[in-house]
Amino acid sequence: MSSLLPFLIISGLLLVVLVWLLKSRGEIGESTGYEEAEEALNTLRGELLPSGLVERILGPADFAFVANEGDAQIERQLEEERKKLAILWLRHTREQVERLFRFHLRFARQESELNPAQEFKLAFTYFLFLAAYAALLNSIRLRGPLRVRRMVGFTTAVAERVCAASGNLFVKLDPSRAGAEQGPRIFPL
Amino acid sequence: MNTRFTRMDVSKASEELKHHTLASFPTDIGKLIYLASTRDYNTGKYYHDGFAQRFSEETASTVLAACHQELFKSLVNKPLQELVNDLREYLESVPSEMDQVLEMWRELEPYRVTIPLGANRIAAHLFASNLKIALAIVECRRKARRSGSLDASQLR
Repeated sequence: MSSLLPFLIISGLLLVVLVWLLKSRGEIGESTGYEEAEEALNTLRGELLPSGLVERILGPADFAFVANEGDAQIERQLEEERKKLAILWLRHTREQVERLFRFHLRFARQESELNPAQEFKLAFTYFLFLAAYAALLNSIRLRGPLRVRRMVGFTTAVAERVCAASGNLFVKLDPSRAGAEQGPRIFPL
Repeated sequence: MNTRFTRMDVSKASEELKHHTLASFPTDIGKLIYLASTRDYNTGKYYHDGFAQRFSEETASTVLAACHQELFKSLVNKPLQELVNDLREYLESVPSEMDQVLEMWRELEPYRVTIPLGANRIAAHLFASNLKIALAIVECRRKARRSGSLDASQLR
């Protein structure tokens, strides 16, 4: 029974979000924040999710070079600097993913033909991202930046799924974007 | 003043900047500092009298800004080992006492003003962080060299 508890809690939370979405649909005439979401999507795809930058922060080459210098203080300094950078990258990524999800929520409130299965899938992906974010943040703090590369790959892949869902939504709102949107892209480390 | 702005001019000016003007700087850090120094810190625009006269003010500004961005990106992607060598070479080329230069760089962090406008926020942090580490390594090597405890490969 205790092993089912986390799933029950997550399912309950998702249901609350869904019911809230369906109830508030069409009641709020606020802007959907299209431009803000588009900027978030571009930031994620152009700057944060491509593997080059994260690989540069977490890659082992610089750590090996500094270790070879034989100065423990500089080694610690590098680890601290890279830890700060990894946390900065992670927080910035979460901010942009949150902006995208907020856009989805605003859009869903105004949409008359909501697809509950799709909304459920997106909400699940978003909660998965938040869980991966929390786990990665704690791992970086506790284990340091060098030992989290696989987790970064997973978190990045989940964030990209949110991006793909947003891309599809943008195509729905503006069909001329169809060519620019492709399927989910995975960025392995 | 010539205000025409064509793609051909931009391409020609870019070639000239990379292969003539910047070629006289032996290090990437030296090139970056030079490019950043052509930027007006009040307006963010780039100025170069020679280029402005030959092409146009707008072409000169566009080419300098693009080259600044490009060089910054390449420095962000440079492995720490190469950055340390580049920084050491640059610092040695400065006609001042090395210890004083190192201290000023550590205290004032002048490399922060070399970051181009609109640079990726994380990349800008990574660049400053890498230079801080590179500076610490250059200093550490100098101290070790004085006390004679560094092997030949690290002295290079």
